[in-house]
Amino acid sequence: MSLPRQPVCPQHRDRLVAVAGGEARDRAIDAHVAECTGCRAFLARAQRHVFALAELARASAPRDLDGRVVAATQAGFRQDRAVRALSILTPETMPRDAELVIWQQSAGASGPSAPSALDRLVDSSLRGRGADVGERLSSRLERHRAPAELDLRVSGAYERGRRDRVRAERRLLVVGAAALLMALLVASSLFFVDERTVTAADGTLASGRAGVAPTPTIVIERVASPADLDPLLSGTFAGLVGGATDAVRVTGGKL
Amino acid sequence: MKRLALAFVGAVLALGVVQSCSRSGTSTTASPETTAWTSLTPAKAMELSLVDRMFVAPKNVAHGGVRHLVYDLPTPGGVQRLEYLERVVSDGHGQFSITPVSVVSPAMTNTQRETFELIQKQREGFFFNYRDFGVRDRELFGANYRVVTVPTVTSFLGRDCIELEIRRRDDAATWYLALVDSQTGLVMRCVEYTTAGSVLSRTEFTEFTLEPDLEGVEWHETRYAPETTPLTPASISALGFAPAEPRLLPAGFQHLSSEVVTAEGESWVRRVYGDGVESLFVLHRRRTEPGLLEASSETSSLRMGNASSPVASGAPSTVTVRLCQVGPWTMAEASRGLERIFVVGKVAEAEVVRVLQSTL
Repeated sequence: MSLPRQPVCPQHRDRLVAVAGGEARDRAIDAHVAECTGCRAFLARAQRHVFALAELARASAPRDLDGRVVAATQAGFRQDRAVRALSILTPETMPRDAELVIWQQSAGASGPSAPSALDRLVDSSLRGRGADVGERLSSRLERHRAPAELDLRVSGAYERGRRDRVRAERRLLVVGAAALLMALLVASSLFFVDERTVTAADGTLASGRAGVAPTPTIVIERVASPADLDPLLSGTFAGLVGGATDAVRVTGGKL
Repeated sequence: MKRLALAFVGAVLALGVVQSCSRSGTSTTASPETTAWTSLTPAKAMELSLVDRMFVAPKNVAHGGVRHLVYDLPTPGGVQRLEYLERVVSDGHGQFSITPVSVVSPAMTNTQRETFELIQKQREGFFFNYRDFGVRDRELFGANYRVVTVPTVTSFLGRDCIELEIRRRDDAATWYLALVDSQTGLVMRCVEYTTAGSVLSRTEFTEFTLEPDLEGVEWHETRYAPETTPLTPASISALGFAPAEPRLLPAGFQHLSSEVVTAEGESWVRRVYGDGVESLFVLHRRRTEPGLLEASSETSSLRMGNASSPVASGAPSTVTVRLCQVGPWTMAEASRGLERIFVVGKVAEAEVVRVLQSTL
């Protein structure tokens, strides 16, 4: 049962798989299998696998799969049709005049030009990143002074906002400190409180952490017979082994 | 929270209930027994996959016959053999019966045999559900086991059978060679081997029929078996203590059922975990002798949910775990105050200790 497994000869592997799959055997492979334990075992295994695969239950496709396949296929057809339709459209030709203008521009021929003032304005706007435009527009606005009440209200609102921000920052600080303290407490309990220790019969110790509360040290005591255990436990075991321990007990013996 | 949970594990219960292992048919919704039974004809069964057939067959395919069982328990003093015959009948609608026929080994006097057979009959529910090889959860079976089909069809007691080699994917201590009725999925013969190659158990039909005579069959009666109720807040409240629950399980195992078992006035919690074939039991019980509770200086009363529970107020610094190993099986019991927690299964010792430790 525990004999070392002989490797299959690499040059015969594919042929053996084919034979296992049902292909006809020939004399050469038969002769080789007869004398090579590795290939013989491989062939047997492959045949088992093929058999196992053949035995697998056939899973039926989901009920809506047919519909999905049809829908996907139809979607594909629709896309194909759209591409075909586009490809056969008659291309619209550009008017001849437009072609001529473009040709002239690209060839450096002078065409209609913008007034130089417009050029300057555009140029300065681009350089000033819009600032010039803003200035030009704002300079035309009529300036008014805000009423004194508005000043007071604005400054009051600003002051209230500042105070709220300070209070929020303080609250955040307190909550953060509390969270930090909690985290420290949990960490310390994990490291210093909940140290489990398992003591094996030979006196060796193994320890680990598994929670927050302290857990007791476990001392293992080996028992030779199930009869020395609690009847509920030994009875359950007896049930698992067909009543074997009961037979021993009934006949006056002990495991 | 953990301190609370920890405190609930505190006391010891002592109770000798041999019949504690039986299982009634009215257990939790998670229990495999609560399946709505629909009798499967062999032709109907063929519509299922082989694994599905194996899963449903024992209770859903009407069958009957005599089985020959051999258990070879490896002990320090040598192998202890139990060999006997039993008659099994299933009506295909969830009713079943297992009745001892005769004991081959060890040799017994008439009185010994009668006692043994009474105990066996008392355990038929447990036997039917947990003793024999079977697919107990299809998904877990698929996830944890690999199956090799031997490419020959074997005729066994007039049935065409497929031979399956079934091993845990992570190479457990044992593996199975099962002869399965290809039509119904019933296991006709099963041999369990250790990885060293020795036989641990062998179960096979010596007589078999798909048309059993149901007249006069003594069906497994739940009213004679320990009463089981699902683990609910109400049943926990009636129980009077917070049931321990492992936070760590062996690789591949998942929770299958949890229930409160009551027999002869005593109640305990039974949690069953499985890997698709093997079962791991976690039992929790509290001793109920009057006076002990009041006398115990370790206990105080706490309330968790609806259950008023006497618990250890100061967690004991040391818990003794008693371990017993028989072949591939490991049993462990832990005592704390009035409570006892047990773990048993075909699982390595370190795993059992870890499971038990995670309940404390």
